[in-house]
Amino acid sequence: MRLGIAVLAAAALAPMCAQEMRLPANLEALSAKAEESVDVTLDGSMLRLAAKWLPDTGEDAKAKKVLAGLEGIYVRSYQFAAEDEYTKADVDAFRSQFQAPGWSRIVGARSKRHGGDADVYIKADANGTIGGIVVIAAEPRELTVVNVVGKLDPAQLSDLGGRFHIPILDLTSCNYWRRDSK
Amino acid sequence: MNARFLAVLLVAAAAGLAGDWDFDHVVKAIESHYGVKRTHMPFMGVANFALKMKHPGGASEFQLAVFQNLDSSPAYRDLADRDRLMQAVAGHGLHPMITARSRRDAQSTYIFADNSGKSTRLLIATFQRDGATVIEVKADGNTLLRALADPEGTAKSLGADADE
Repeated sequence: MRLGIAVLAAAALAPMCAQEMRLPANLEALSAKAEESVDVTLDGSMLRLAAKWLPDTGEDAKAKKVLAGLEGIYVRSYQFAAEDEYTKADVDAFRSQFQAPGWSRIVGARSKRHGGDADVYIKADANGTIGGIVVIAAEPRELTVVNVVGKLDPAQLSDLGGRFHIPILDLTSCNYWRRDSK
Repeated sequence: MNARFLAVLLVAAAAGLAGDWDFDHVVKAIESHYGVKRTHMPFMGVANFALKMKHPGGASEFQLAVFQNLDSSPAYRDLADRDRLMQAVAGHGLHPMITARSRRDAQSTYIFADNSGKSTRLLIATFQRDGATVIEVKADGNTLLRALADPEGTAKSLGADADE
């Protein structure tokens, strides 16, 4: 989580696609290799409950507003003891899901210096309504996949950063590096 | 009319027992899988009573099971096997919310939530090097938010530290 590259991304899922992302078996299996891993599975009812308890002030108020339109947040985060514990092919297999019609990649960041990639995908319906966002942040020793399902603007993704194990994203000024958690 | 009243009572009783059933189900699954029995906890009734009065950490209606010497089972060191065990106990109203694993510390924490009733129940199972704890609490919103932000820390604050 502390490693540098950050990123985020997002993909929007149309309401008909509002469902938990499916991780390929090879990605799910990474939890056995990872030194630290976190899986977060929050459906609509849990999000509404969490939102109910968030304060109505400051950053919490923004997050609360975003949560109101969401149907699910799913996070898989893996940290490895060494580099090369997962392969590019592992991640590419997952990325290929978002080459289907309706999906758009709105962010694709590659860093030779940090050795990390970050992609954000959205899927919108015919009216342009975004139904969800998928973020894939791949660093040499860390891989994070975030799927936010529901109505949200990509700009609102930053309001969720640092919560529910979602990395803090800075989607402004072409700066997609992960910042320290709150 | 009496039959309807009885039906309402039965439904209400079943809802109240659902949490106990989940807890017992998980405890029995661990006992069966690793061939151990939960450790007898003297004064557990007193602790429960105190918890109902004070609500430490925002939790109430607390149930706790402690397991020791789990590492006597060869399967215990297999974290993937542990994942499969805990995935198998989900359902029955228990929804997996957070799983956090640390191979470095040989620890994994599973937090399940049951939001089907008027209150939210959290079932937290923490496995450490040689022991485990299973806790079920009726949680308030702040406890839920803490569990989301810091699953291991919340588990410890509720007493899930089998190695201590």
